Amino acid sequence: MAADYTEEQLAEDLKSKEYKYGFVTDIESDKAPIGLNEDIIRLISFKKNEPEWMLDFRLKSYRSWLEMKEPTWAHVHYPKIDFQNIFYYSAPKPKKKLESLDEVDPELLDTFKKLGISLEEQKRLTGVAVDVVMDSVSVKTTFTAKLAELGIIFCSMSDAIQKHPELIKEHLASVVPVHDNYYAALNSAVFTDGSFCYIPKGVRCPMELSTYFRINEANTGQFERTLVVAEEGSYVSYLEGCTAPIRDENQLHAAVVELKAAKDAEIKYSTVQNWYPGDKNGKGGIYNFVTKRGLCEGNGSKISWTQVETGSAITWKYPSCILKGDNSVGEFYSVAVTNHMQQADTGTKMMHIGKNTKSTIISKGISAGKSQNSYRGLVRIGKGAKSARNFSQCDSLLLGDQCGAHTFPYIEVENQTAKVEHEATTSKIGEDQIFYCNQRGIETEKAIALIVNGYAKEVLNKLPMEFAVEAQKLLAISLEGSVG
Amino acid sequence: MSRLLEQKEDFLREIGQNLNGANRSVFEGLRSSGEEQLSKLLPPSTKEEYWKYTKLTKILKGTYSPQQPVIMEFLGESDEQNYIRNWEDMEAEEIASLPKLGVTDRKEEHFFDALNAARFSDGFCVYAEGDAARFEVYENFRGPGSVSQKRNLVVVKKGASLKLIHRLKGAARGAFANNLTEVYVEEGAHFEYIMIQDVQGLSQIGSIYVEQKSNSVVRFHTASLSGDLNRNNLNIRVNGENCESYLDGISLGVNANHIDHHTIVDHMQPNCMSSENYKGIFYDQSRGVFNGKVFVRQLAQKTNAFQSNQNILMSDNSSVDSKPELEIYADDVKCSHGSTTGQFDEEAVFYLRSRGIGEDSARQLLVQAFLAEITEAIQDEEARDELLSLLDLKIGSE
Amino acid sequence: MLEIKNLKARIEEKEILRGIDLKINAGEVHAIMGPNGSGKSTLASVLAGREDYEVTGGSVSFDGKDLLDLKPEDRAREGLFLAFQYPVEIPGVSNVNFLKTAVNQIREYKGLEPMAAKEFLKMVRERKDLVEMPSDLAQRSVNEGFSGGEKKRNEIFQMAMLEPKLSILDETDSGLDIDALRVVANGVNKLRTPQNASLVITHYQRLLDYIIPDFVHVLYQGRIIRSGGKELALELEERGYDWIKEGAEA
Repeated sequence: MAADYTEEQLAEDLKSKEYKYGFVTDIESDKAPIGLNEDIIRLISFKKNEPEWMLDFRLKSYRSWLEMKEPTWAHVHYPKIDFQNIFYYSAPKPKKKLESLDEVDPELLDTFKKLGISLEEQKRLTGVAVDVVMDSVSVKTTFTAKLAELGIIFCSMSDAIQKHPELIKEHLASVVPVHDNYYAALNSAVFTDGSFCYIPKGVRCPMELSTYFRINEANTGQFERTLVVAEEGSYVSYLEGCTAPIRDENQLHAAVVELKAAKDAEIKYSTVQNWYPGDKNGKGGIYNFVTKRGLCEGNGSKISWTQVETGSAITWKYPSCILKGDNSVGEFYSVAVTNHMQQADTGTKMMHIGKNTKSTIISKGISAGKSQNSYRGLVRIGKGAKSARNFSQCDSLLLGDQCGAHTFPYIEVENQTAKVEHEATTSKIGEDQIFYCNQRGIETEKAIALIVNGYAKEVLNKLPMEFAVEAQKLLAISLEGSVG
Repeated sequence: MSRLLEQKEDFLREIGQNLNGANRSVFEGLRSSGEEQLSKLLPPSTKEEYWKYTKLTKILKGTYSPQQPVIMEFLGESDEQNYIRNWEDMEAEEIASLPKLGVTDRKEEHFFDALNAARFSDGFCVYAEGDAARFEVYENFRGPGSVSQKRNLVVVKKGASLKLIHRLKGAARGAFANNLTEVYVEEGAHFEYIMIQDVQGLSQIGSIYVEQKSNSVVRFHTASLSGDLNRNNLNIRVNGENCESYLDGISLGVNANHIDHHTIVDHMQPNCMSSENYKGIFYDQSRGVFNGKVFVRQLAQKTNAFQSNQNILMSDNSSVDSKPELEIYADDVKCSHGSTTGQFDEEAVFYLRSRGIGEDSARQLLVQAFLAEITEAIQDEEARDELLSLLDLKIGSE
Repeated sequence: MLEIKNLKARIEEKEILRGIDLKINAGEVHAIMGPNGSGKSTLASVLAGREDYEVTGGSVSFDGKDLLDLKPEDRAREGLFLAFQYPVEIPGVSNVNFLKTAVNQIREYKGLEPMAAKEFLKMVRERKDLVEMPSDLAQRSVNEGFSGGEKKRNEIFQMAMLEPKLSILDETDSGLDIDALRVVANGVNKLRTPQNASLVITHYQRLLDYIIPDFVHVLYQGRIIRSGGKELALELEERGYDWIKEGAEA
């Protein structure tokens, strides 16, 4: 249980003061030339041996991207990105089909160990099926065979394009259209890999499915694409984790995640986002511009997003639910921590279309250092969303007087029978709470870690066990040195 | 030529320029900066965040009769200490001794602010030094298509106390008003402002800019009871310590009326509190908007800010957009907001009915109870009673 | 164990403690009584190290160490425990997790190994019976949603867990009914050993029926104006504070 994460473990973790995922793996990689144009896209498509329709999809996306403008409405500031100074394709070498872990480059395996996701161990002990995406290319998907017995498809996006073209054609970009926004269009043009997951009718996926993303190469953009399709009455819980090495320059991560739930299906999607946040002075770090959207298509379907955001220099991310089916349910649970010079503009959108649809939003923001942390969320009750319900609670906690915490909710109600409730509070961490801990012999830094974890508990409890523990550690580590 | 530019030119031509008694050299600076801004700016569209939920097409495409005067009447005893006057009736030196219009902020940066600066035709100046000043203003709208652009100034001197009741009354199909009021509340002063908007057929944009100094208390009550479109921009800069600011409002939407309350409370200094409470009832196809923004600047430690917006939809075709926002850069603060939108508590209706009260009366009672919190906050008894009976009348007829 | 010499402290511009002298030896129970506003809770806060108060003079030594020189957590680690008058709520942090962190940080300070989970839980089970804590209180968040009585019991439970040398009970009786008071007092008495000491701060004599003090001090206007044995408390109960005040002011 998450609560059993002891202070001994925490103390252990706190000893490593720096971003501990900041190593670079020395693996030779196969890169496309820097920059972006139609030829690069053709090259990506060629390297991946893609069918014609996929290339067309990419080119169409690229052309609409050219027409679009970078969004500027978020409460974040950063220098203009030079999209021609990014490598759009980088694959670890040797690039050949891997059948077992023995064939994986030992350096790579070492990387996974440092990430704390020894594939073998995971395989043996936890039964988590893992897909690892490194610099945009899926390296290894475990457990595929066992899942296949149940008819579950869990593979890299590249494999899916080759092996399940009919499913990809049907579902890809059906939740996030290519022209949805600037970064979604860019992703659609250049994505190099990602994960695909398909749960057939009536099947409950017996294990957590998991993807780890890692950016390794310098100046490389990561554009992964994830698609999860849950057929009628099925269930799946999906986890993703992210890390990147410490680099002085900024790196771009523009992913797209699409979820689709048919009648009575349920998808639980959890993220622990720990991209490199940049150093204390704001040098380096990942620009995390991600589009995540779930469509509750069938009646009685449910999509639940849980996220713990501690990394990235800039985060721009609004995991959303389109509640189209009657009685469908959308949930968003978020903890976002910013420290030093980090900026986050994150939240959700709940679009109520069907009758008796329900959504819950619990957001906990924690700002420290000189960071800026914004919640931005939309709750929209459409005209036909009879008896729709929403409850939102957005709390912000401030540590120090140099940071900012902002709340921008948008509430749009067009149906009389709806009931929408939104609450938000912003306050400083309780000095009396810290003193109380001090009086019991607990030092201030640890007291803050305890209080912050308690504050975020409502959200942490929603995470699958192994993630909850990691998330607790991350919270404590990200707030290191935030109080003098 | 872009559509907006075209609309702008037609609109400016339609509303005309009728400076009346406010055509005075003392205002030349303001007018020219207004003109200059106006030449650069386009009318706002829903693409702008600030106007996201309010369409102005109807105003921009209106047909106007600018020669129709909108008459202002004042009530209350003016003397040396406290007075209310038209610009026309004031000596140039007297005007020069007051805060200069338009200098506190870059007010002309919004289209309608620039328009007001360039073309305001009249307005009132209220000055209070004493501790119990009270004035009333009536603006009477009559002719269809009439246009009113008033520029008002309120100065509440150090330690003084002022109550101002401002009513927009009458009926004028397709009329347009664009009033701008600047308010200076000095150290330790108290100001209560009650605005009642009740003109059938009027589309109005009303902007108020307030500068609050240490230890002062302001109370703004805005009741929007009728009119095709009411857009109220209330901006308070809390620029002193230990201030209190209370903002509240009632939106009573009927027919296809559109009521939009935009507020900004900018806490720049420590130890202040602000409290906002806006409630709306929406019948028929009416639409309500609330956008409240609280800034807490880094210096403004120990700020206590509260925002609440509650809405009841009375019909299937009514709708509400609510955006309570907090932007906080200081840490030792307590800020919170809440927003609820829904329909009536049917349990309560049932309870009343089971006690023998007819359904309509039950709903009426509950609406009054819902709004009571706002009316009770009005300190001026006369104004409160007036608003209560107006509400009774209107809710009774729904 | 504790020696306070001419201690003066103020909050903002207001001087509250105006020269306190007090010596507490191991095995003793001292009571501090006094009317409202006399500085009782300030004394407790200053000893625990609350930063709102500024010490303007005097000294406090605790087992030979300069107490005023220590951070609040180090005071606790040295064995000073304050049972708060108004214990704060810490949402989401379970009592057990909280105490485990505290116990092990104190152990670390003393150069001891952290306590094994099993041993710790055993200790929790034993000690919670001392104050008749329902077992679910240990799992619940620190003080969150506790009744007044539960909060006070929880304070004594924590005291039992942390085994302090000197416990300061700040108005522990306030807001308690007679049964809760008895439970709390019983807990305190059971924890009494010849090696530790207590300082009981109270406005009423009531608590002292259950926790029998060796010494009673009357605090008034920031000074101890009279000290005596336990009879002094009874006398105060009978005659009120006025007669001593008059003596002090005269």
